[in-house]
Amino acid sequence: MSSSSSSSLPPCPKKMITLKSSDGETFQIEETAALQSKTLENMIDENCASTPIPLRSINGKILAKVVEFCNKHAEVGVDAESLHAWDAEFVNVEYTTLFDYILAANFLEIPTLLDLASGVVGDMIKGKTPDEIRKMFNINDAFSPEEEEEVRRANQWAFE
Amino acid sequence: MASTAASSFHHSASLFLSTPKSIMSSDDDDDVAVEILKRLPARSLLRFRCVCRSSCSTIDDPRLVALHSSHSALDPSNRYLVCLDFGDDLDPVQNTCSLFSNGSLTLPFQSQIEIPFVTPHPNRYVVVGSCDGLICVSEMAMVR
Repeated sequence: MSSSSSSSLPPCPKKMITLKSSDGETFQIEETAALQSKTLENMIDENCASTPIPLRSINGKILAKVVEFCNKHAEVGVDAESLHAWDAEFVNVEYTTLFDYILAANFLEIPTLLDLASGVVGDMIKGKTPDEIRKMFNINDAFSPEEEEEVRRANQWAFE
Repeated sequence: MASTAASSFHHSASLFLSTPKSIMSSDDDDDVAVEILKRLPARSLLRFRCVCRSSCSTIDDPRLVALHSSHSALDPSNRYLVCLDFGDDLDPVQNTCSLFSNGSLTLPFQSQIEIPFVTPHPNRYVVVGSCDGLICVSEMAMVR
């Protein structure tokens, strides 16, 4: 039998694909990890992933983090609790960076990252008053006081 | 570093566009805003309507309303059970109705409201059904 010779064969080489950020950095990612992105999965299915895939809306700094996220979530044998802790640390960043994660996850169609980053921003703002939101996002096309009062009155219960 | 500063400025207002659309990439900003807003509780959304004009039009947009509704339906904690109690201590009767057609009927009773019209005889009413959070309660015909 050839069982001993087959077990000594080198492991099947991992299939890698290359991503290229808007600022020209390239990143290698294993195909199994890349499959978390619907967009990349479609490209792999259509055999469009043999050359570097240009991602013009994602810069190198963000793409590095997205690749890190996909790699972590493709790891086998990670228990839910430690993955949860890892995720919490991953999104412990400025909200401007979270916006970049959301955009990247939306473009690449990575539902786990989209849920995580959008949920964290939601938690940051959901209890805030309209005034706090205006300060946080530097918003300057507010209503006149009379108009605001009218909008407020339409759903008074939400302010109680 | 200039590009980093520009990108943080770009994002500083991107939840609700507050500058003329021609200056900013409005499609990207809309995508981010929609992803965040569709996950917020209705109470927060209604409060944020008065943040600025664009927040109001984004939140009032029927497309966001539809997305919010389908996203909320995925979360079991957003499923409510309407329950009308009548009968008496010896013979309690409950008339129940889930606010989602496929909703779980096992959730605990969360809050009690009075039917906002005069109800001298609570057993005269029946929950007919609900649609988009609106509950239809009907007065039963009395048999004499």
